[in-house]
Amino acid sequence: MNARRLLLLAALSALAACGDEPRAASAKLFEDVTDTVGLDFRHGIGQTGTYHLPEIMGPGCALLDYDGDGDLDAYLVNAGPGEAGAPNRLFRQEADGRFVDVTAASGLGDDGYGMGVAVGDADGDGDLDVYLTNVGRDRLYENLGQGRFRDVTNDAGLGDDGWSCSAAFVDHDQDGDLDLFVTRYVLLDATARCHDPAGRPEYCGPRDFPGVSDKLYRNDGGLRFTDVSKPAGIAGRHDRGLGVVCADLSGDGRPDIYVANDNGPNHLWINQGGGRFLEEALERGVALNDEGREEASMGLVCADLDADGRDDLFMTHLRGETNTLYLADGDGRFSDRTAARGLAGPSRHSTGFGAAALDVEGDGDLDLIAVNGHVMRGDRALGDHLSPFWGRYAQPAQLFSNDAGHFADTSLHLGLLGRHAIVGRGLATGDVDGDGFVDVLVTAAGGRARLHLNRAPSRGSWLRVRCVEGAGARDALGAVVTVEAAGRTFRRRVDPASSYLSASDVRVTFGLGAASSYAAIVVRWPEGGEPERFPGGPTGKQVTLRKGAGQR
Amino acid sequence: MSRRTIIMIGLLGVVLLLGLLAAWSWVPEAPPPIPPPDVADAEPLVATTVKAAHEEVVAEPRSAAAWSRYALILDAHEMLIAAADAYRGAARFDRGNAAWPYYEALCRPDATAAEHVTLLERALRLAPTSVPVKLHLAQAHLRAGNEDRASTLWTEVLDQQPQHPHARFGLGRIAARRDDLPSAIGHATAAVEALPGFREAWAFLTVVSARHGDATGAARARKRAERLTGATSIDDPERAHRLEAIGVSRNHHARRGRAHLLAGRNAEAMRSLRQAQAIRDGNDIRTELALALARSQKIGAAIAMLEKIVKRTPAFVPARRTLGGILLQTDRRADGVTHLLSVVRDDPSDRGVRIPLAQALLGAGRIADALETLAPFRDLDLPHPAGLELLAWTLASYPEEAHRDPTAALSFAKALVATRGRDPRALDVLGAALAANLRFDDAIRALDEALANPGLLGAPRAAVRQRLALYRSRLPFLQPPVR
Repeated sequence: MNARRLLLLAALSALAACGDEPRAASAKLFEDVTDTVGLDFRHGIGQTGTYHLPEIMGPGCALLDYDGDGDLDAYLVNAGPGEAGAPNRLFRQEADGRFVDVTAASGLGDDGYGMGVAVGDADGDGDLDVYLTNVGRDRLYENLGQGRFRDVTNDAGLGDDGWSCSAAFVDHDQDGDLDLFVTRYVLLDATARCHDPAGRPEYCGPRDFPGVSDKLYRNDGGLRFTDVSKPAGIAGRHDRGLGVVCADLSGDGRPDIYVANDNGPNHLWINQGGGRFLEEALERGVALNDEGREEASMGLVCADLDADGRDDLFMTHLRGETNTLYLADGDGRFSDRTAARGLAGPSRHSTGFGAAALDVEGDGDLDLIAVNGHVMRGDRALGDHLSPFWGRYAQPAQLFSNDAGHFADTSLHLGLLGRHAIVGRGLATGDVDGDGFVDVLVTAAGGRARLHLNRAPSRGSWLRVRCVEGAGARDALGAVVTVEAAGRTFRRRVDPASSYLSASDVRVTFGLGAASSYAAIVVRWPEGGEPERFPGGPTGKQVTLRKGAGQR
Repeated sequence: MSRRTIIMIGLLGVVLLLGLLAAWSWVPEAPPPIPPPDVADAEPLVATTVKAAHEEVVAEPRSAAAWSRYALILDAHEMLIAAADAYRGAARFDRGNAAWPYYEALCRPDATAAEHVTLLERALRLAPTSVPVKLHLAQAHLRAGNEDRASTLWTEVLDQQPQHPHARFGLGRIAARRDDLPSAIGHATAAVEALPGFREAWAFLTVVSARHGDATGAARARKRAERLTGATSIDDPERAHRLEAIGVSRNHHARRGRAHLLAGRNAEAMRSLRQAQAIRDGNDIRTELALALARSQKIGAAIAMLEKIVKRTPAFVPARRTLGGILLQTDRRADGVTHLLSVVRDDPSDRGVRIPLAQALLGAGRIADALETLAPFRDLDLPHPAGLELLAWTLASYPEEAHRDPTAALSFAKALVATRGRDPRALDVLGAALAANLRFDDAIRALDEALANPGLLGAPRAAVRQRLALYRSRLPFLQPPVR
């Protein structure tokens, strides 16, 4: 072969190599199936350009099996019946994977100015009830079975006015029924008009309004709740709550409550027992970041991200800040390890909202996913699919892949989710198509909700666990489940209420790597006491564990 | 071909190459792309100013002055991405100026730590003694994980300014990362001593004290951190002045108006505030204007303006606060008290409003309400001089014995002296509290010390003399009863 031909071949090889790069980068982990499954939902805020703050803060969403048929249905929160808005909508998943709008028949078409949704079996009858946070009165809907709900807000003693955001069911007094924690944002002055430093109309910021205190409601049984915010010690703090997770972060066996506040120190309410809480975020290192600065915390994840047997905290923040990772030190204290674990650089340009920890490829490590979207206009419109107005606020989602506790930005592999900029807000996770791998439902301010199914090409084995307790087989929110397989332990919590304004599947899905079977499952039930041990079995299926059926 | 010919050809090649290089180096560098002015919906004056600055760069794309002016105008109006690009342009044609890479770094809050390090190291090479550049660079290095370089930079700052709070704070953070908690606490303590409003350092002191097992120290530091709001920026007055001077937005005019108001320049304040109002009217500007009117003795006009705002937008707290304060100086004191009480209810953290409110309540004989209003000042971990002074006076000298508390009065008076120093006014308060506790000799000593201060003149001096006479007669000072 002569030199010219060699050169030609080298050039062609180089070209081919260049061509390989995008192919590798586009190895999609998720596929947007929104249109094919018929999930037709758009967040309707009416006319754009009015800069009404609530429209850019929502909406949330939920993945829940409301009808108990074993597959996940989708609930999408809307901005009410305003000029072009509409009520919330419930979509039932059919056997063929398509979604059908059953809002009218279900009675779940709440017409408040919706923000978020929390799910939990508040009456302990074995099905999931729904709490909706609104700008205005919140609502509690009791699941009556047969796919029907009824508004029980008044009878339940709930429905405080104001602006509520994320909510979580939690058995804070460990008496066997689910209480309710509701974050509240600001005292909104709807007449306020704000502008950016160049005088352009812009959404107001959180500091333009006074903060308000969050709410804790005690479940008194019979779907009756009492506001115990004051005696619990919660009511004295006036901040701007957006996200919430409930978990035993102090390690004393009682559930604590962590609140992500916008533009203020975050709160860690340490459960003292007897219905009392003390706020100890600053002392425990989770109020402010490593630089001593408060951040605009929005979405929350609480999970064992470094696989050391302790729950860590990850939260999403404003552009110019980083998403922040607080790793548990083991004595009920935490340290900001964002930069050391590779999460600082990739998140500085994003304004993150909904977030989740999920094992995308089933290798046993929890990856992190976050949806993004500005709250103040960015400088460039992104994507032809967006209107000029929303284009300035839209950003693509991000995936941070976990490799032994270190994270790498692998957003390129997200598929459309990582390329298609949206004004991302809500994010819920769950195995929608029943293939053992966790899928993602996302919502966008002023945009369409999107369902992205997990299509990871290389997958480990999996196990899905549902934990129930009580006579009615209530889903045991707050239970800690540890699976022993292939010489490793995999720890997850039953925690539908992290992320932002959203509720994920109450079942926990484990990726177990190469294990074809598991040796045992250990459950620490939310009421405390000795953990229960359940026998092992093959992977690749769902198991339902009932409290009291295991060995203590 | 002979060897000589080959050498000649080689030399010719080298000469040709050098020539080409020389020619290349003389060819003017192409100017970078000029960031377009995105001024849709901006205030007209901002849009005009930005466009004009942009046109200057278009007309003279190699002019450092045009680039830097455009960059500063964009920066002043927080069009940061374009400003950063423009600073890069300025740096291209003014390579010796540290400001441009430094300012570019500050305009890229979402850049990575490594990108910040590159820009700021370049700036530091050009301005090796710049404290702000060193502080920002040290911060960037710490973010990038370069603890040693960050430590060196902060230590250098301490060599230049031995108590610099940001340098102390930074070194404390490094010590904490290395589990040297005593050193971390020492640096944090030095930082808050140098800058008591340094919220981040108080928060850090809380964390490291708690980690070190000092629950009391942690609780005390936490209280201080919680009383403070906002971030403590690295001070760079030169940059702030440059941006403020070039800004033309409503915000700039409003800020200038507030600065004039604070300095007592009412006419200038009115002028700046009217300029801001002409750009866009709003409750904020109207409230400031009303204050300027009141200070120019146009009390009626100020009250009318504020009452209109309060009626239309009751949720706008600053108007109620200002209106209440002005009404207290008129014969409508009761209305003033009502407004200020509503402010305290809506914003319990507003300590400034509590002093005039408590004084008005005392004037109206509402001692219980006054003491409740002053309650937040009882926390001696968070000393507030004006609050301590009023508390000590009231509890030492209130005419009705049932409301006096000499012991508490003395503790507040001592805290006042510790906070404000032994100035005549603080000593006068201390004297009253000592006399209320029947410690007349100590009270006399305190007032003698006050009178020894040559700055104490006129009516205040006469009042201190009268009280001194009382104490010499073994009588405490009591305020006249409220009628």
